[in-house]
Amino acid sequence: MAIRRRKKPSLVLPLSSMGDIAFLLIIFFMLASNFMKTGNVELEKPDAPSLEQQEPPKCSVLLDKDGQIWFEGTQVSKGEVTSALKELAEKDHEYTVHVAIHKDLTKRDFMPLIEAISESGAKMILTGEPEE
Amino acid sequence: MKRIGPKRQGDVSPDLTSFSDIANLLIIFFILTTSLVRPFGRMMDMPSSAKPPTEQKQSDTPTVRLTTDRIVFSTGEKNEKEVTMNELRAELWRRNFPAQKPDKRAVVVETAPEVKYERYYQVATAIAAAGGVVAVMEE
Repeated sequence: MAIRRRKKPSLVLPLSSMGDIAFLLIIFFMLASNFMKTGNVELEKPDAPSLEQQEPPKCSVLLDKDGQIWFEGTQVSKGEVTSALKELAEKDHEYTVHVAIHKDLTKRDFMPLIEAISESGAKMILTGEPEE
Repeated sequence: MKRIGPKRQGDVSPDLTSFSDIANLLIIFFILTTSLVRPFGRMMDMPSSAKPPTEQKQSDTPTVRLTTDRIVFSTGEKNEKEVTMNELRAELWRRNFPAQKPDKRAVVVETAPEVKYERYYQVATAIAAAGGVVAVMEE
């Protein structure tokens, strides 16, 4: 007599909830993140004690290792930064700009930029790394 | 006779696997392009160069003279001393800037051209943390 083999139940993984989780993660990232516009800029921030954690930047100006100015991810001149910030600060008097400068630059390189930003009327947050 | 009835529809179940693929690709995109880190820094209250500090400087205005290896703190011609960074912080806190009138909060920073930004940053943030206003002095 032939023995009938028991049919194995087919294993089906319900994947529809995976998609839901993935979309929830996407929504989380969209709301909680701010885009890195200057990931390719070579910049080492200076260390200092008594720094405070700041809000994510509305706008950022960077002065890289070679003394190049980056405004919102685009390389610009000092004059262009001043005029752009002046325009933004006229619309919003509380306009705040995050400024990151490479730690090894000398006064000749960084002071003109700091003066240009203070001249524009925008509020300035000098960013750095908290000293441990 | 064959009975004519409504045609039985097959189960309609759209294939959702590609949806989760798209979602996963989007997640990878967001992970790579975003930063959740909130930056550290200090809000700087700096008078614009439209009002040069040289005009405002009084004889008793605290002044920090910064060179590559020295920090000199002075509050007048005869009252100047070399300080360490910690001593400078203590001097600045002793002045209690938040209780002073706005025009008495200025601290002039005279920086030598070869001074690196890190050194300037530590002094400028120390002044801001103590409630002072950084006034830049051109040499």
